[in-house]
Amino acid sequence: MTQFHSSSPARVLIADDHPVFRQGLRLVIEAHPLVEVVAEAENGESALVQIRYLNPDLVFLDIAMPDRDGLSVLEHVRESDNATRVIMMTSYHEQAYLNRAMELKVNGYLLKDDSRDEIIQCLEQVLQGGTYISPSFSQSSLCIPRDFSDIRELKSLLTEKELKVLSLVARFMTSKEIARELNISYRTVQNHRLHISRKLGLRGIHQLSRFARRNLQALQQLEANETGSGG
Amino acid sequence: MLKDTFLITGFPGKLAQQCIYATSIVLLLISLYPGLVVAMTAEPYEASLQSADTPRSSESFSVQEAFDKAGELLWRRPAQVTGFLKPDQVRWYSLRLDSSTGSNQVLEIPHPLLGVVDIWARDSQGKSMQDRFGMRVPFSHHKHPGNMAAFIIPGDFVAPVDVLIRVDNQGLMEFSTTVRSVDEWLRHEQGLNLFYGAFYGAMLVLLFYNLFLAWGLKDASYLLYVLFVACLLVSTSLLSGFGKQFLWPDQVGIESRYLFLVSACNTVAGLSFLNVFLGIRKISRPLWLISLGIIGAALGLALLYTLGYQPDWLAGLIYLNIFFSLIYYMVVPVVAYLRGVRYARFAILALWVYPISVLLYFWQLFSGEYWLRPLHLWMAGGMLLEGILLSLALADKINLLRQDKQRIERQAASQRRQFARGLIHTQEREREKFAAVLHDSIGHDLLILKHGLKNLAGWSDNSQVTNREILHRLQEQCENALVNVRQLSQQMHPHMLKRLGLSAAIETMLENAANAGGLEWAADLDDVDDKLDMEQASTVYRVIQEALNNILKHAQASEVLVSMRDRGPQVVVSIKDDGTGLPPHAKNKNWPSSGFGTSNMKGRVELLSGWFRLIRTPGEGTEVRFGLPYR
Repeated sequence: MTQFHSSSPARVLIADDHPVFRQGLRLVIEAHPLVEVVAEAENGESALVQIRYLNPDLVFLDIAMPDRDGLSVLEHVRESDNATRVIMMTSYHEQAYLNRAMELKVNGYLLKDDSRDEIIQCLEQVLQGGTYISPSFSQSSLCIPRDFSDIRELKSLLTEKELKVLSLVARFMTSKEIARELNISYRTVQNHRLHISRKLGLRGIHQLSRFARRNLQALQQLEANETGSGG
Repeated sequence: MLKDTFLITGFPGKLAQQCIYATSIVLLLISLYPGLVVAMTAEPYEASLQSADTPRSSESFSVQEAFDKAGELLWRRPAQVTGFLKPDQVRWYSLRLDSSTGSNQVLEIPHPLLGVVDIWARDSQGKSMQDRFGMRVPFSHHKHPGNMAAFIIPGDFVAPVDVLIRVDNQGLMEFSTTVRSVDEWLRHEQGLNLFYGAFYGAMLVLLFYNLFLAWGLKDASYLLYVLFVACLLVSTSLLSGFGKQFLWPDQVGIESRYLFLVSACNTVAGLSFLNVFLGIRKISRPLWLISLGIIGAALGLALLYTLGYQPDWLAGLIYLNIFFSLIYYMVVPVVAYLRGVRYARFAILALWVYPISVLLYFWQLFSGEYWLRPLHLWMAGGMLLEGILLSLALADKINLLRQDKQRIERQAASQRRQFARGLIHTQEREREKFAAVLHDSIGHDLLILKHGLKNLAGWSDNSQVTNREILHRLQEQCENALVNVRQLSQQMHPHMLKRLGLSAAIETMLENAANAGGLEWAADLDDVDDKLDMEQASTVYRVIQEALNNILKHAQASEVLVSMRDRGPQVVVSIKDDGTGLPPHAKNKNWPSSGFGTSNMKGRVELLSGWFRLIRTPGEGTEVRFGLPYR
């Protein structure tokens, strides 16, 4: 990664469809000694063309823009070029947008109501080759559940009953259905699920069920072994 | 309007159509009546027959030789030999006419013949005569009109007159003879002519009427019907002798040469008509294959016979095949009707009438007790009724199909109306909600902001600390307003759908709903973004949204599971909760079983040719399941 020095300031492009916001952002970042704003774009198409023509070091991209949205611009940029650093600057604080932007190897993700200090901090971190994500996103939601390739590890972590519950979760059953299937109370199922989630470091039944489905084969194998040795 | 209906269905109005049929049937019966009366009132003299079988020979005998040869055999054997004539046999009959009238008499065998009949007669004073009637190729003896073997017994013969008849016929043969005066016989022939005139007229009307319909409707079954009726007409002309009498008087032996070929064409047309009309190929493949077999056999055998290869067993096989086709005619419409083809009802009537008339014909032939004198009236009547009833069956099909179409259209229209009403209602409800959010939440936030700013401006003597506090509060208020605006905008238009695809949009919706309603959720979503267009994707999104709203409002659920699967030609979505499983407002008995949101969801899905199902298990939860076919 290139390091930027005062002798050669980073060349920055700002893409946003609101002129007032562009001006505001320009004021904030031009105050920084390492930054020179070389262009502004008011829609996605224009941003894409200018990025290709001017080849800036850093791009501030809005998501909601006419013609072409920021994610699509980023996707096209990344097709040919991973060197241009891109900071998403948007009002969408949904996790899904952040996930998509991360997939597209974004360097920074800021929300429009983040403070001036956060913008500067992000700018510096990204220019130094790091990644910066707005503190509005909680860190825990970024955790990705691990896969268990070894069944024995899973078996050592969970009790027999919990494994059974997990395999039914994998079959996309509600707690009530699981309770009826295993002939235990609804509360017990909920407790089991809570314990499993805690042991595996998962949050909510969405992550639990995704984890269970990913390890469906292993679970079925385990079940087959159980009934095989039992009978 | 009438013109429109006619163009669409090729048919005038239902009432007009029924009137046409009723009138034509009445006219037909009236026109048949005189012929029937005249043909039946010519009273014949019945002579009792004695018969015996001998091996076939084509020798010709003089009268004396014939009586010498047959006499011993005939008088020794019992009379009343009935049944099939074996192919290698000829049958001898003898009879004695006890009274003489002084004028010429006609002795007639009332049965269409394909073979040869010889007759020898001698009176008490030794006068004798000898004659032959025959249609077999290559010779034909055909002195008198009609296809019945008729012989003139001269008037100067003195009773008792002994008559010897030798029949060499291919196929079924058993009969009584009739003897009557020439006048009576001519009157009878006249009556028959009248009857057949009406018969041909009626059949031609049916033929052209359905030809017109075939042209109008572009429906193959009408053409096949026309072909079938045409074959019936030709074969009747051949069998009754009217063709010989009026159409081709100079042609010799056409009847026996082409009768089987025409009958084969009749089988082809009839079976094909039935198959196309009732859609037998779809209903029962084995039956369809059987019909192909019968058709193939009929054509092959008839071609062999027509080309001149005429062994006796061939005629037997042809009769057997005709018998099979009759069974097919009777079985198939019943099978079709039982498998739910409603318009098979007239076909059953029609196709049972003809075999029954054939059975009656043979029963009359073998019993020797004739109810309806010229025997082939049974067959002709059967054919005519069959033709009329089949024509009615064709009309019935149009009628039933039109009824179905109207019913479906009515259903679709009512569904559209209901959906449109639902849509308007939903729109109003949503606007109400947005208005409430705008007024109560965002308006409230802005109001507080305004007051706060006024405070800041008004009280210039505030300490810096107080100002900072006020500013902090105002900032929070701004954030509140922002959150509300974002939520409202996401609800009004799912911006994520286009940018991130269906799965991300659904998961975010679930996440937001779960946060707001204390609901746990899980989703298993296949990536179908490439297979759905924007309309379909937004339908999937909206239906899940509506289902989720219902769950949040009514179900008292703690979990919701959403799955979206790519299943071959369609996407199948399921939204399952663990709530009460009771419909909203279940306490109100007057409330329809499905709530308003349900009909809205169903309408949206069905608008894109999808299917929709709502599965409620009280105490266990509710599942909304729907599928959308890919385009």
